[in-house]
Amino acid sequence: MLSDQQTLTLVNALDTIIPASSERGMPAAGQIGVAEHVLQGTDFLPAVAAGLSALIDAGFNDLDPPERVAALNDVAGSQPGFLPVLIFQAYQGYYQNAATLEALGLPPRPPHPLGYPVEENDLSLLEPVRAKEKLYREV
Amino acid sequence: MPSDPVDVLIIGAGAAGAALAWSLSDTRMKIVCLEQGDWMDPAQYPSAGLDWESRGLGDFGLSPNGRGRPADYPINDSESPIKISNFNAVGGSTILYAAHFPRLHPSDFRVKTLDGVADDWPLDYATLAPYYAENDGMMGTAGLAGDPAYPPKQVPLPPVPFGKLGHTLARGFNRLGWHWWPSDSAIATQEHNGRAPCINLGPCITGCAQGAKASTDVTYWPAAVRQGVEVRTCCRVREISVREDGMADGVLYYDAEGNLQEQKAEVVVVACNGVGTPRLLLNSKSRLFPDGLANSSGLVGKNLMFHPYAMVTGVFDERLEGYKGPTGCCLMSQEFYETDPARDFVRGYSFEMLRGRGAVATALAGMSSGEVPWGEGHHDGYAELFDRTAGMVIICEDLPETCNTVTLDPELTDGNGIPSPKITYRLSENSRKMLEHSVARGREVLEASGAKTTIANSPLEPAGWHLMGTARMGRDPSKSVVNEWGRCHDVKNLFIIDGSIFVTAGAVNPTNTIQALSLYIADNIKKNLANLFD
Repeated sequence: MLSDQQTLTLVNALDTIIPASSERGMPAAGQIGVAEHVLQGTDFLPAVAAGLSALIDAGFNDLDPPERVAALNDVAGSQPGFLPVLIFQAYQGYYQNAATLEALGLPPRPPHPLGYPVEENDLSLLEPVRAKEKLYREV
Repeated sequence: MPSDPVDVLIIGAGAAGAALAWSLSDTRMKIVCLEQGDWMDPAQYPSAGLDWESRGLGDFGLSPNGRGRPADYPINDSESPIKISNFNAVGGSTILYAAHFPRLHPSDFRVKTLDGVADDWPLDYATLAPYYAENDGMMGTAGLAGDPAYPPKQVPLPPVPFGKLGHTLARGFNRLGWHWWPSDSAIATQEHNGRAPCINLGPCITGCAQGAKASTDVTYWPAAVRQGVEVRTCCRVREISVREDGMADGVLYYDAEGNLQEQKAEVVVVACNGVGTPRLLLNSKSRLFPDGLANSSGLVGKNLMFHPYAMVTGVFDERLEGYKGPTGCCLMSQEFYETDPARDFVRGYSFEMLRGRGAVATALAGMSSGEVPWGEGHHDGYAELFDRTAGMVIICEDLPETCNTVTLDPELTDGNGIPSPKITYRLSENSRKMLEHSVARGREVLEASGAKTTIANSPLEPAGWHLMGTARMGRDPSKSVVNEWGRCHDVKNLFIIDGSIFVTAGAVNPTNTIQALSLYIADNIKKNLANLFD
């Protein structure tokens, strides 16, 4: 479990790792609840908590975005188990989030039970292959 | 506590065990199958949740070592560049497979005669052809007749949809004048034997929630159970016991509560895959078989064959809608399948074209390659990749070598204390040259299809999902473990029916051949019932 301040720092860190893009219509990771995905982890949570504490000590939440990037890199140097894990979890949690899928132009739902429609096969493309000599060796 | 003896005891409820059980069930013999896994619940498959990609890295991952399901047993594959992938459940590895369903070719059964390497099988394509056809009907194979890469054959169901991605790749193949064809796929593209048709979910390799993919728990097993076959799940066989006359007697197994049980049987059939089968035989030592059961040839566990895989991915400018459609089944090419003396290797390979990566997989691949950085450049980097990748896996034929082995690990055991398998494997020079050639051709066809960049991964480390050769068939007992219809030379009431019995690997997915062989062996058992142990 994280403290309230660690949780706030986590949200801000996620926003720094995957920021919003108004140009591409993409949300920031912390703003769409990716922190919940990170908090489901168990084996890596102590390393994440230690990294967040180091960020708090560096005044992370009061920094502007470029300074937050630098602060994350600084903590990564002193806490080697922190940033790679957080980036992996951020990417995983962000790209399975319904809000992200919708922003990417995908239906914001799992594949099942609706599946996806796919265009009919153009079997005329096989005409050059049908014209080939047989490829297998007779025995 | 010993159970009442049965006529036929099958160990393993995967592709092979299911087909044989169904075929033998019309004899009304008392048939029991012991399976260390359980029945799967399709409602629990990942594709029903937004986290389906993450679960593909977790409880539905490829490696038993990382997955940690109750039915998994650890495998020491530290001395192999290719890591083992299997799945223990009713359905076996068909639960996770991509359902590629090609046949071997006539030449695959005559490699020694044609190419001077490996050995010939004691049977041929023509012998197996009717069993391939029977299996295609039971499993529901989708594809298209007329492929010039095969002798004429019929396919019961229409091919899987190519989609925008498949059509793009097809045009690339045509520009080069290379062979391609719709993949033979064990996926119901129409309603088949009571199964609903495929609705293009995508993540076939984490279980099909639709039931359209032909795993044996939704194909052979329901029919076999209706005909009286008993499947006992969560039952892990420790060893096969033998009588003083050298015949198999039955098995000792751990039931779901972990209690050691005994099951006597007139006939024992092993269907535990190319790693599980030699493991069981080597764990079944006795006074009569000090080197492992049925191992007078010394070949149990030897000649392990994988298919060395490579993966080549192309990045395209346009969106390809690659998330739609069966993830592994689309188009296949056998342009380079047969041996070409102009090349510096023997035998050949297949291309199996893949759908695009999911949203999470795109991000994680981009994270590893550096193309999708965190921070400011993240979305620009991601947009270059997402839904803009298409590629292939390349299946290279592996040659049998006695130095590639499954043995018993001296220290590692499973949850019941049964010694685990150890894999010792190295890529041959022939495989290395083949991989190099295949990657270059793979890049070539992706570029012809419009890819602006290509990325190759060779050999593909997690691709140890085809397990063959470790109890090979043959007519000479000094050079093989089973005869031409799967009966052990040393133990006349012991049969092996999984990929262990393969003599050569071909360059295609083995499941259709494994099941055709199982049906063939079952037929021979039925024909020879009167003198089965002669």
